[in-house]
Amino acid sequence: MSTLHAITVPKWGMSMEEGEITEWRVDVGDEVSVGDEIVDIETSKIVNTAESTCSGTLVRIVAQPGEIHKVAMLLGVVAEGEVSEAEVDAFISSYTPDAAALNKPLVGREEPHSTAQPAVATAQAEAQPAPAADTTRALEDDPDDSAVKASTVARRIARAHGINLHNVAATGRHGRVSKWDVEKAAGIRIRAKAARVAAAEQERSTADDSRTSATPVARRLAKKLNINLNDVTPSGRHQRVTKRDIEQAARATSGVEHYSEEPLSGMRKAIARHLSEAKQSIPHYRVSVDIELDSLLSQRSYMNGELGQRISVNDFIVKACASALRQVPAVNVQFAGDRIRHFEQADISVAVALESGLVTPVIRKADCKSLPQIAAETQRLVQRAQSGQLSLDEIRGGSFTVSNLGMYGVDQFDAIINMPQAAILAVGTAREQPVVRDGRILAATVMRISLSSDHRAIDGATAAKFLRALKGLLENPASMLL
Amino acid sequence: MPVKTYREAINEALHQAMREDSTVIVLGEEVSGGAGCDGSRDAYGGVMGVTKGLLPAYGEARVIDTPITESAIIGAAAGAAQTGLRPVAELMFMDFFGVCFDQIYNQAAKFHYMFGGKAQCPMVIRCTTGAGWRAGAQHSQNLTQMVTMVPGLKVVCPTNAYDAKGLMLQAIQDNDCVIFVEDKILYDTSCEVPDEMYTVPFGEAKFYREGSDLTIVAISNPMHKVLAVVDRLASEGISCDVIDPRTTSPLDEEAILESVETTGRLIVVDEMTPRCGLAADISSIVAEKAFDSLRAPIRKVTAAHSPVPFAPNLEDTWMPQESDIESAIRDVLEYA
Repeated sequence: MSTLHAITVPKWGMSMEEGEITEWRVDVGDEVSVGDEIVDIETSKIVNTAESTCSGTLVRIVAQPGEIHKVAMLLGVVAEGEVSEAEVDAFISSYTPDAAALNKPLVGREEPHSTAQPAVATAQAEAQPAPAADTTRALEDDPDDSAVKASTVARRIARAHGINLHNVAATGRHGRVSKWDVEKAAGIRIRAKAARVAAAEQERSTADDSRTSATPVARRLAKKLNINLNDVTPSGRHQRVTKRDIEQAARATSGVEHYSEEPLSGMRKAIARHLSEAKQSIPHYRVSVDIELDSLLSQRSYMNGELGQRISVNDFIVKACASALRQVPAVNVQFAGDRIRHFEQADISVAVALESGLVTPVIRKADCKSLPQIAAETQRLVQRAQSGQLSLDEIRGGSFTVSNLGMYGVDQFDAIINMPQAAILAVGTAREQPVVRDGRILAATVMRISLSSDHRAIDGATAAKFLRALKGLLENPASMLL
Repeated sequence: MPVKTYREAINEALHQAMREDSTVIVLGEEVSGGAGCDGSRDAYGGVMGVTKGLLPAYGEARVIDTPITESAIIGAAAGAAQTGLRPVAELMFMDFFGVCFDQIYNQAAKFHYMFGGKAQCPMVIRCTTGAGWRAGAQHSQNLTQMVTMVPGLKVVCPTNAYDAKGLMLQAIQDNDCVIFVEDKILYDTSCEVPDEMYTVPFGEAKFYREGSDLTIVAISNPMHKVLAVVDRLASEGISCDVIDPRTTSPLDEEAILESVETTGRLIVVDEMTPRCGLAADISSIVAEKAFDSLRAPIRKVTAAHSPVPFAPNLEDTWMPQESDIESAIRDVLEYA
């Protein structure tokens, strides 16, 4: 007697509702065992691999790559023993998704530590507003970019334009900076396109277009819009100018409706959905404070110089936040409906901006880690984020988020809370400013930080206490050692 | 510009093509001769007199009378096309295609494809079609849809004398088998036709009228009824795009779709039967590719699904008439 098993879309977190099939790792006819990697499924943030929960032969692939299926829907069929095609057909047609599975996240893929709830997992994978292209290099301007992975031609163009490869978001294969990335950073593409458009504008032909091949509707429309058919790129059969070509030409020359549209990616959809929800459902308030960074910067230059470390200002901020959360545990919380959830360790999410959106990988137990450990971990996570390799475990969880726009020269901003967390720190740029001390005006490097908090869980005084602690730690970095 | 009839236009095209290209030959039943022509025998230049005067001009080697056997005519033409000639075969009535359909769809249409592009089939099959001529069920039906559905064939349905000449010259130049469908009713219609040689490209529709309320696609003879109705309704402020595809294969989908995208309404008028016909085909293309643009259901105005009646009053009822076209236009416009 043969048995048929269903391969279904697993639920990798409470808020996961559907996944896009990206690739089958086995073919029909292949043997599979429990735990074998069988199919890659993309959720709103990452691509994960589903493992087989049964053994046998894959006899049917129901869902093809590119298709999006709800949790618990049938993807394929595995058979133990001999089965006929008719039996498989009958199994598929009679398959109904397990109602329990729809609501239950997959066991065994939970948070490594007990306090974080499954809800953290995917919510964590959701969005976070403040893009930080490369948080590890918040204030770093290391002229030596030879360690950055880049293609030869990208490096050459970057050198020609005086671009530091540290400042270029890499989208190439294996996280490499590509020629395209550098050209984009240098504005070459945009300028070239603008030049092309301007040239086309000038060359608008006034020649007779009555013999140019065009559909009757296109010709009619061109006449109405005063467009010469010779100026239009034909896309119709036999190089005929079509109505669509005229409409496109009209948009290009008129300057109105000068836009293109693209469908939302899964990640963009998730960002849109969760930030709207966060902004609408969480009573946000902000508390800001100025931090003097001179002491920290001198400590950092000593560490990076004398001690040969590579520690960024952002690493200090992550470490300081973790320590401050220790000192003011009332901020290391989440609002969970009818209760407040207190976290026992400080897991700091760090916002990383990618071409495609935003991810927030987590530095776990940042309160127990040294600055070099945090620096190394952040660097690793940013690299993995840029090459799209982050695993679900690396982005789920997290009890607090740091978002840094300092490298963009932003003085101050407010961030939207990264649900279901209760607080997020927005970090501005550090600038030399006049400060008054003991009645004297002095120059100091000042950075403004702003804490957005969920008032349901954190009161204003608590937030202020936290900022005071954070300010103390950042202005006296040695106290982080305590 | 001189005015010529549809018949004269095709005749002129044949004359000019034969004069310019010695590989062009004409064959069919009674295509030679023609009463009143020099060197004539007692025949009338094809059943409709379209090939009159070709024999004295080009001789018996190139204007060939055949026995009354359609399969032989088309088989011979297809074979001749393989030897480097450009035959123009006449099949009198399209109704007789059944006799030689194997030669058409199974041979001529497939040479190019089946011999890996090494063979071509530059032949034209002329035939007459259409009701309203009181010719009975076996001489009146329009079977254009049957050949349009065959891959490898090109199908031409000229609506006026100008197009007839240009399309015929194009058809003779073409390296594929072209079915040239002449509507009997149109032979005596006339319009301005240049004396010189010119071609009308395949797959490019002609817009007889341009308007914004409704798209009407009409094939062959019904076009003239459509124009009469549309011009009458123009006084009521109804403005229509009136499209003649001119060739049903290739079909100028672009022109039809663009027009429907502009007007949001479509009526297809043809004299074929409604099931699996060109009206159904064009309707389905629009429903599939321009559905979002439609503001009203598509309407087909076709012949009835029956053999063509012999009784004149029934034959007229069978054919799409101006009143049918007008009520379809009003229905579609009233819908939304």
